Amino acid sequence: MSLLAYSLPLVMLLSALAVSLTAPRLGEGVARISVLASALALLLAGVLFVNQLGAEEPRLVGVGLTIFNLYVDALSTLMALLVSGVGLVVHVFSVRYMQDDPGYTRFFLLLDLIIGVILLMVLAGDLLTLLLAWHLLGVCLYFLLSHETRRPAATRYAFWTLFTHRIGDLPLLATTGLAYHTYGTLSLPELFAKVAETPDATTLLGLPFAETVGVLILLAAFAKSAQFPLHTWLPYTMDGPTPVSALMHAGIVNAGGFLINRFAPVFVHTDGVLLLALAVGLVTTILGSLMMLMQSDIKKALGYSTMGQMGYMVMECGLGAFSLAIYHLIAHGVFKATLFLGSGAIIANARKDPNIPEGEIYKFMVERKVPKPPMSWVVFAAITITVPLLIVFGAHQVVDEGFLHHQGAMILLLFGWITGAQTLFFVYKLGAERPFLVLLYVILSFGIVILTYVVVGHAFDALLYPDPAFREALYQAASVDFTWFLAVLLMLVVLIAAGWLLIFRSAAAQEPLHRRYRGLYYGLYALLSRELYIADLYSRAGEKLLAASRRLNAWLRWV
Amino acid sequence: MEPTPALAVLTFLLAGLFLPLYPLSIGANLLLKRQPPIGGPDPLSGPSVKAAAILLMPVAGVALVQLGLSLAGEAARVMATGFAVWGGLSSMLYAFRLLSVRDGKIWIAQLYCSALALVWIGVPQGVPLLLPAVGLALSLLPLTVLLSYLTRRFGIARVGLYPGLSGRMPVFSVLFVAAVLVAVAVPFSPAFFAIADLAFGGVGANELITLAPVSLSWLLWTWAGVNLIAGIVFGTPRDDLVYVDLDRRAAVLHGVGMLLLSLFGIFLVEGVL
Repeated sequence: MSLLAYSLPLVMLLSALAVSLTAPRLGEGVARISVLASALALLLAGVLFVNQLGAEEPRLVGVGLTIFNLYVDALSTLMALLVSGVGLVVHVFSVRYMQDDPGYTRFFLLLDLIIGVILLMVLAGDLLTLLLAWHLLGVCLYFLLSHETRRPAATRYAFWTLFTHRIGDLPLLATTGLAYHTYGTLSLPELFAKVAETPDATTLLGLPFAETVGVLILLAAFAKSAQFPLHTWLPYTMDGPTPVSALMHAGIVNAGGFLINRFAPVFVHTDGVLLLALAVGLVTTILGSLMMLMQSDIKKALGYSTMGQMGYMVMECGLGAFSLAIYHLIAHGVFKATLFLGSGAIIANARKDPNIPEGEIYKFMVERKVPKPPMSWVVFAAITITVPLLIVFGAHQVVDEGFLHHQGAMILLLFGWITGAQTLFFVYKLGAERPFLVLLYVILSFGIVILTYVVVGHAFDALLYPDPAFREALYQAASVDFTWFLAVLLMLVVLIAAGWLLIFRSAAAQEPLHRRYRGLYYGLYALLSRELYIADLYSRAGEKLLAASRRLNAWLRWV
Repeated sequence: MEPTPALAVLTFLLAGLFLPLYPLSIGANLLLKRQPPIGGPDPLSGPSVKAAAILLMPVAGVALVQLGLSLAGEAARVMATGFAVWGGLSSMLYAFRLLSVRDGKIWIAQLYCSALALVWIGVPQGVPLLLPAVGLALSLLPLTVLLSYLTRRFGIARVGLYPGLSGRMPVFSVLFVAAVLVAVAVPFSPAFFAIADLAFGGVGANELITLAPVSLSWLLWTWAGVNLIAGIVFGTPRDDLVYVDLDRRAAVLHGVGMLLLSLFGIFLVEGVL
């Protein structure tokens, strides 16, 4: 087992070495070494995962040093399987996509390195190895993103990425230092055991250890997972090669969700900390989705879509649904990699032929013609609001009868309801010729998606956190006072339902709200199209800092 | 040894010349950024002298700190905390100034001051200082040597003057990038492990005094390091210059040197933790 675990990152690191040594002789032939190594890594990850399924307890394996210990459990092996799977797809895709690129061999070397580093990160069994891999991930990504070394935009935005990732390294460094000082260990399982023994230990300025470390871990995760306001690096790094975008959006941004899950045994002893994840995740979800809608560039739209999805993943953690976040990041990784790898071909084809099918969608999306609503808005509004609610409620009821006891599950149910209703509302707005047939398709699809989500989510729960008491404790750590929770929930439901009714009514009267509130609409549009000026703010702050540094140096005569 | 606090303070101040505390750091800074005068040789500005200074000054500084601690007696903790705050502030000051430095010699001098000033944060908790200090100093050597190579080739090592070396001097560029990363304490550089040692040890005395300077300086070093890489390795190369890449022997030598540094880093962390 020990050899198998170590061989995973080692295969990729050795492949990077082999690529660099044989590059002068093999030229673009080095890609074969790289692809073979990533296929082997996937195979090994599969064996390790299956092996772990049969094992009763997680294992810490080491080589007798303070560092380079690996922790083999369900979470690390599952993540290793995802990373090596995405890694293989990206490798195979890159073989032809990067052909004739002057930096071909450098690209494969860096690709091998970064996959090796991610594998080391997900398998890390001690804080120092985790910190080391966490840090190296940002560095490798910087060089992959600045692959086009002559393009200033590529290197500038690669720097943004590196700097944000470095900001995320610092809380992890602090966590490592505080954990070593408080409990005298760097080993992750030992730390978790000691936290469980003495959960009330104090640290920095007398603050409770679990809460302090919880906040630090969340901050580290926010930077890697592009949470607001540390998100700007993600949509701006489209100057990197497409396979890197795929790897980044399908693999690297998931690091935050992984880290929060890795520290679940600490979060379980926290009080109120997960609310921070909920708040930041919620804001990121909403802003990411809104800004996605403002983009005309397909890759940038995908970038903001990832931001929204990552926000949702962090929000799930904030609700105590830790294993659901892992399922979400895997599902998102798979579909986002597909979208990124296909985006280049779609852009190239669309230049020749837009290929938008004639019919309602063409009229609605391209000609911007708003069709006459297909039926009474009152009937459709009733269907829109009630049917998705019945589906999400029924799916949860089938799988877990006690789900209503978890506040987190109810919030997720609310989101499922909003998503379903929004999809149905689009059918109404589209004004299809056969609305009931389309409606039926949408409801069926929604039902299948929700049921799969709930069933697989529960399977992940059983796999990653087999102890029901632990799962319950995680939900409890994310809970707030029930009276307040219920009041806020009911208020949200009423507000959302009222909003939909208002929109339905205005759509039926052919008086869209954005015409009625033109000033507000354009103000919001301008703000969002400038991405809330956050990137501008950071650029300006960077320039100011550099100017201040220059002035200080001149004043102190450079000594 | 009889405790004599006044003498201890004096010894700490003397140590501040080598483990630079601003403004005592000016001497070390002037030595490391020294340029040869026009028209004449200057033994003090040669890379070997600078490398020796980079290695020996921390050792002298650590020895003086130890002497100061033994002289301070019961006041050692209070004094050490004061000097740790001073060290942390000096480190952050130099890290911030490093952002706008474009000349290679000044860059090394200011990074030395910022990095070695951090050693003070381990003093209050009694962290063994020698290995972290040597680790931080050793990490600067590869970059010092490569910057002196650039000075020999182009007359000056300066950001933005001859960009795009990756296209014209690929072997040098790979080693240069690695050397910058080692200098700014990226894993597996000894500086990374030295920082980890100081941070893990220092938090025992005071979390804020330790973690604030370590975090901020480390972050700013990365920014400054990227400026160096972006202005020398990346970009479009000039056509009016003659480029000569490192020969195979020198490249292997540098590569092996950096590998040995990584091994020293692991030894360092194993030795201290």
